[in-house]
Amino acid sequence: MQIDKLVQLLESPVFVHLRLQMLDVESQHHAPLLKSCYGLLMLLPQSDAFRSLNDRLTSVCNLRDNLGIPPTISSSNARQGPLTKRQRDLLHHFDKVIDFHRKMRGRDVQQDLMHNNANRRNATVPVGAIKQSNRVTSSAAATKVVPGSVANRGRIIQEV
Amino acid sequence: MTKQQPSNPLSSSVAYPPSSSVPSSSTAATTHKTTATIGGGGQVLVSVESPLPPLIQRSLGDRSYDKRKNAALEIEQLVKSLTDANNTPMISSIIAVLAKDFCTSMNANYRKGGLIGIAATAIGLMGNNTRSHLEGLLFPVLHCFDDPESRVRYYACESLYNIAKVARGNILRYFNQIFDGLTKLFADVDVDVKNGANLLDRLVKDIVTESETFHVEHFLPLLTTYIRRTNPYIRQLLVGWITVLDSVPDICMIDYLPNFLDGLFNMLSDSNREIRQAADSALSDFVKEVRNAVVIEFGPIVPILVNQSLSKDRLNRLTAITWIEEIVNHQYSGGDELLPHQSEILGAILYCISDSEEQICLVAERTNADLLLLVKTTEADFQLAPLLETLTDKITPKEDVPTTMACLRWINMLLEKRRKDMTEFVPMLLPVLLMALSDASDADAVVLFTLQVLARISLGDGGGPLIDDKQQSQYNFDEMQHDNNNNNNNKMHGGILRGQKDEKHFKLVINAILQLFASDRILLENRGSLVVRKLCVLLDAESVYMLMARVLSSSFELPGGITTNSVESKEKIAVSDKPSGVVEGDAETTTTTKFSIEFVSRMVQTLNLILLTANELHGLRVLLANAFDLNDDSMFDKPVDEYSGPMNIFESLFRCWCHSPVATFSLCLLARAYGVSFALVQKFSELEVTVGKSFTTMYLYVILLRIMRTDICYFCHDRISDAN
Repeated sequence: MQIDKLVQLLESPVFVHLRLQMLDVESQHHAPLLKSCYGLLMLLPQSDAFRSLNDRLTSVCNLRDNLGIPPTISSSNARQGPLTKRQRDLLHHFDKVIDFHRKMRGRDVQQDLMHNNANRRNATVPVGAIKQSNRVTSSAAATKVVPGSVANRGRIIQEV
Repeated sequence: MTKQQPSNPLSSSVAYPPSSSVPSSSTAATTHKTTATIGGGGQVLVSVESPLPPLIQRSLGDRSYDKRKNAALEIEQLVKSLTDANNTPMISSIIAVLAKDFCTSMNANYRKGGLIGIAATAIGLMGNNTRSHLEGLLFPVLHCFDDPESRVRYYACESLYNIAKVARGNILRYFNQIFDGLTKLFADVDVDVKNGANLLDRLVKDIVTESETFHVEHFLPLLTTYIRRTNPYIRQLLVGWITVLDSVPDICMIDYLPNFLDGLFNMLSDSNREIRQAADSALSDFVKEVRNAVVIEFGPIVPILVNQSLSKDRLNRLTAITWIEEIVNHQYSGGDELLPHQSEILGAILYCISDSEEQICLVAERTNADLLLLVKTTEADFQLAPLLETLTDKITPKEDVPTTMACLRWINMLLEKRRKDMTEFVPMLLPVLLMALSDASDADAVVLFTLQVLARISLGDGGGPLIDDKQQSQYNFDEMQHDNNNNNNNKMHGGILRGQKDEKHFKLVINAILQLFASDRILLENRGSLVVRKLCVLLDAESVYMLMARVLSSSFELPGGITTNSVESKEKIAVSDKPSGVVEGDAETTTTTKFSIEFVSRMVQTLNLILLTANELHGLRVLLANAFDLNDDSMFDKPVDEYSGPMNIFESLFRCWCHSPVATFSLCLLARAYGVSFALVQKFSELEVTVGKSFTTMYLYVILLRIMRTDICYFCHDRISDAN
């Protein structure tokens, strides 16, 4: 899922309610909504997606200015202020998944390095490396199942 | 050559009175010479030793035809006078001499003479008197059918003709022997013999037709034997006979159909056009008779027809499938009577339905619909196993789309009719259906139908008839027009299934589909959306998404040990706990329910995109949008337990959606969980920082540019390598 694709979708009828809610400036949820959208905006490079989202947000701010409502900056809106425990659990879960992905990726890279090293070693010192190579080939077989260009990753890491 | 005279049983010397010339039965064959032409006769003296005067004997063995004929005429007169005198023993001895000394002689002329003499004897006997001598007359002649010399065979044919001409119905006692002889003559190399045989054949047919004592039962073994012969002349003879016998009112050939039906069908593929036509017309006569017959024993016929429907010849297939149609719709013997044979018949239909000939397809299509209706509406009990065996065998989606569609229609019907009994066949069906799903080259119809079948499997009661879902179109204004085909498909295969889900099978199906996607990414790319949307329509979107999310996220156990989806926790494998370097228990290969981490995030992205765009998912979107009631401020103070329904859906999806950050973010926006979404955006930046750490500033700049433009994902390394 790409961010610019999401911005495109924000312009679709599915998110009509979201765009309308941006007008609801006094609401409690307005601040996190606006912040979410701005967060998205900040992640985008200068592009069509950036401009269309920016236009939306500008019109909301204009509205607020016209209504003369000052931007509410309350301390309760600090980072995880209004979130319920369940929501924090969800976010925690998100962290864990990301962590898991990172670990998996790290392992791929590590395996790949080992694989390359083992190859090099095998090429120079074939004798006595049988046990080692057995292990390596089987781990190589396992890495094959994980899609993605493992070999490329390994190369980059080394170059870096 | 034996010149010895035969021993005469009665050594009496009789002087026969002179006989006047007798008009003979030359009417028999106008185009052919016969023995019986007008001839003179003289006084004949018979020696004590032989019943035939030496003079006659000598001229009977003459090489000249005329001399032989004259001798024959004299024999005729002789026999006539003997008949008048009622001297049966003498006649017998004449026949014996003719048979032994002449017909089996080494000299061809003697044999010819013997044959003409026997015919003359038969004529001399006149009518009823032939009866007692018939055996003696016939067998020498039939023996000569095998003669090496064609002229002899010709005369034998002629001789038999004359015997038949006078003996009429009496020859029927020896019908099989005569027919046997006919088949030999029909297949003869000599044209004259063949022509003669044709005349003889016609005469015998006449006799049979007018006779009242002909027994088909006796003839049947012969018919069954000869119908297998491929010689065109024999085929011609047989198809002619079958037609003639069928036309005799007293003979009910339809009763004997199994004996020759296959043979008749085989004649349809003969290289000779006449035979094909004759067989075709005979078969179409029979099919009419079948239609009108009150009782037909289908048991023996069905295998023949089924076998013929597989023929490589188009006429065979067409005729066979037409017959099958006739049988399926038979007013008396069709219907429930056919149930024991339905699987065989179905196999034939399914084969023909994808025929290259349009006409065959059409008939097969009709027949299939009829049989389907028959089975669908029947109250009688029938065996599912043979049917399903046929069906699973016939689904070959690569090429034969009509066959696949027909199979699916059947499975669908059977599930609707007898879902409970079908349970035992689900393990057999599932792989076949998945194959249909993945192999359907460019037939969305197959995919949609397969999904309907899969949906029925997921439901405990088979789902009943499809219910048209009118609501679908109402929301169109509200929805993004995802693609136009989508709407067409809704019209074609619209409708939802109502019914209680059978959790075990539902999970089985969803699991199978996900696995198919995991192993076939091209399918996921091309048809993933179609499959998911269709399933969401048929079953309900909420349960499909919930289950998919559950199955996908149960692929992993996350570090930290907190089980997120307790239902599947026992099946999980703690992949990440294993020390790196050791052979990885790869999720996808070890057990059937494990998916690779990459697939899970791809699948989540697919599901998310569908959730955000497809008309079919409108209901689920509405549910999610109301997950947090934002106007109710007390919401956040409610105890945890009171979160139910939509909230539960949101959380389940969220936990799975975590495998794709942007998807998670959009889910939060959809559910109006803006607090969460903001927290997520902040995490995105952390994500990038961690990615960037190991790279130089210059790299970081390039990376960030690329990532921001395209994707926030965990595989940033790939992107960088691309940039390189």
